[in-house]
Amino acid sequence: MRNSVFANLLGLSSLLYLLGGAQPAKAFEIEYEEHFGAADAASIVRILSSTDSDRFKPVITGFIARNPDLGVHYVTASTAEIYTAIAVEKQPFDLVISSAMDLQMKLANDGFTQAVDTVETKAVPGWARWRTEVFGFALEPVVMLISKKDFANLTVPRTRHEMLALIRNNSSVFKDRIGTYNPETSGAGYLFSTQDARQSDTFWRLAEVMGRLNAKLYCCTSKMIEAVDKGDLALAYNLLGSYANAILPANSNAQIIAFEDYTHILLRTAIVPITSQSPAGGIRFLNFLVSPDGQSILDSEAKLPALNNSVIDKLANRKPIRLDAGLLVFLDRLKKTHFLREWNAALIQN
Amino acid sequence: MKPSGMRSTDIKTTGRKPVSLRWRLLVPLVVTAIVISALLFFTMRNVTTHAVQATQDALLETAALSILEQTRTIEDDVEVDLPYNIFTMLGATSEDKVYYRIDLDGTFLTGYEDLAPNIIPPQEDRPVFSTTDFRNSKLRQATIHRGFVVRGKIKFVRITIAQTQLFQETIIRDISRSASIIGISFFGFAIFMALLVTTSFLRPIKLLADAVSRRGPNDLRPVKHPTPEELTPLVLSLNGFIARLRTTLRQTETFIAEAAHHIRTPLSLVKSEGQLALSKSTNAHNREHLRNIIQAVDQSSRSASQLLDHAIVLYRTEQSDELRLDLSIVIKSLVENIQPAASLKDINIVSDLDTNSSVFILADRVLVEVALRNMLDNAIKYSQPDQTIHVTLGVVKNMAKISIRDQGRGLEGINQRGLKQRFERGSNVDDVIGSGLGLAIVWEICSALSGTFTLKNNKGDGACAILYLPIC
Repeated sequence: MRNSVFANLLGLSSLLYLLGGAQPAKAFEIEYEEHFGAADAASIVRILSSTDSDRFKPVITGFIARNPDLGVHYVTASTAEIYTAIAVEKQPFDLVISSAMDLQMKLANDGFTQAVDTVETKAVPGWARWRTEVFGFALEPVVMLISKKDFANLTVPRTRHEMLALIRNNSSVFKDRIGTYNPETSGAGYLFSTQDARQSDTFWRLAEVMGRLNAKLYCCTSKMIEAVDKGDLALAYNLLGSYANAILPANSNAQIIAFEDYTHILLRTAIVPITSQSPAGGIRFLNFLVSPDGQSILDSEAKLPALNNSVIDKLANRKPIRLDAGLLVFLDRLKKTHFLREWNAALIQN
Repeated sequence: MKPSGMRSTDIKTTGRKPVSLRWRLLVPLVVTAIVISALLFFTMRNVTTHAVQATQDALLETAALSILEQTRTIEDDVEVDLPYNIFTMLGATSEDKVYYRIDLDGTFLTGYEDLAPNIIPPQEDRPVFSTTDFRNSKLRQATIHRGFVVRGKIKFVRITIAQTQLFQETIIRDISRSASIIGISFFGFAIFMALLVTTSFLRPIKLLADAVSRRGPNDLRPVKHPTPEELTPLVLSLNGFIARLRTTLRQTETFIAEAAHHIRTPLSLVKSEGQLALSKSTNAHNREHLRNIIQAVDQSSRSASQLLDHAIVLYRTEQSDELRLDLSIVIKSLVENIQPAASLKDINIVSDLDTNSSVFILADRVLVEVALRNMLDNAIKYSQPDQTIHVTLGVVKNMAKISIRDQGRGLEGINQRGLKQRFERGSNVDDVIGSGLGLAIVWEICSALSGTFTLKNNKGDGACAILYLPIC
């Protein structure tokens, strides 16, 4: 992400080289791409993912160690670009990994995914998969990040109500120093906001308060983490817990807070698109992801909480976002327009 | 005579394949079982298909109505909202794919543009359902519409919501499996019951047939076996037939006995007159003629007494008068009676019997005597002067064994079965007087007394007749 432009140029050329130029021009925006495994590997598994290559590296390395005949070509892009790449451009990837459950669901519902029915995928618990097409392999708690310096004299809020009261009562501390996802540009941010809106009316009041205090909107979790760690932000709302957990140094200024009223749990999901030209490789990678080996590497090395992660299991009032057809609703064109209009109205009230 | 033999003769006379009661019963039962099993299977599947379809339709209707309820007019526009929970609910029973399309006044507003709405009559306010193909899967889809007044003008919002039929297919597959298991089980059970019913139905008939076939060849008593009501007329007519047959037989036997008696008396007169004439005649030519006459009279007389014997046998087997007999005494007295006649031909009868060798049987004494006398007569008839006939009595495997061994010419050109027939004789006996009735009488008595009779050649010369009778 940091060197995305450079990586993009580099990656694009290498991808074109790999594919022999037979593919149509890449229209979707690639953030980064990297090749893993032996250069002369018998076949290449092409993975399109929203997870940083650095974070995912232990998993890919683990996969190649177990499948030395395969190489992995790992391409990262934003969740929205991933959806475009598959649904619109029909890019020939063998596996698509995304943290945007709703977009993955839509790909499956609209018939862009292949059914995968293997011993390993059958073992995935029912709540973590949809049909035999969408498979959750990692959990992601949606949390708040606070700056320790700013909260030295403040009580850490346990619920969203307490947070609202705290912000209202200490507007000088929080003026210009609240951060959250921009739902207009970030798929994950849109998903979190809509799920929040479904959950309680607090969300709209929060939006109003954040608007009044001139909250800053971000594209991604990493930037919010950076800002809180540096002390630029006093509070960042709705960001990916595992990222913060993995990135933050031990003596960081940022502290992760999981609310007690409810904590949304996101599923990182994988699909095998119908556009894949060698789905067998994608299926092998998927099998590895959900296998006990893959799950343990995800959890301990990649710091992406596995499906049975014990810490997340113990979170108070965790609310897993259900992997079902309901996710399609907020992707509706009218519904999205309507929601963002409301959001903007709340945020830009004065 | 075996019952099967009797039946096969009957079949031959009717000239048609016999009708099997078992198949007559079994075929309709099996056909019924097949029909009911198939009906069961298809009914279960049909009912399930309809139930599942109705459930899915109800869900789709609820979803379409909920979307309509969330639709309201805002200023100069209609605003449609998709309720999140309705979509969650649609996916609750199964993980079926959901497609929808919303049109305003026939213009596509949102959803899946390639989804074709059902045609719906303008006045219809209930949803219209259809089953269509969409993106390679079968869809169940509902379309509903409603008018909203916007600034005095009616605008129609049309909601089309569709779902794949994965759940339905799964349920129908499961039910079909259960239904076929139930159908096959029912079929198996029905077949089992059908076999049971036919067997129990045919059991009285089989028992009656067995009882009739177990009867001895001369058993002309009426059938008293318990019979089912429906077979009573058959048994009654059978008994009537038996009674008539018995009367006819008895009349014939009486007639034969009478005839034999009436023939024997004048024959003995002819014989004695012939012998008188022979003793007085000196003309060699006449003597030869007289001798021939006497021989012919002898043969006739013998035939007549055998006919009498035969009549007695038939009568006695029917009305047997069973007593506990000591066979050694019976044989001894018989040998004593017959010894003079044998002595005339210089034939010696040796019986190694003493009072210690008593063998008891339960039988009609007259029958036993007639049988043994016929056996001895035969032995004497085929013996040459100075030959000896051995009579022995023993016990073999609960049977009394009486053997009469001669040193005559033995048997030739005849089998055991042939000798049972009346008026059948061996091929080497043309020069000896005989009627062919003797052994037939022995056979009949033997079977009436549940014994066995064998006739075979000795290792040396002559024949050996052995009669086995059950001891008591």
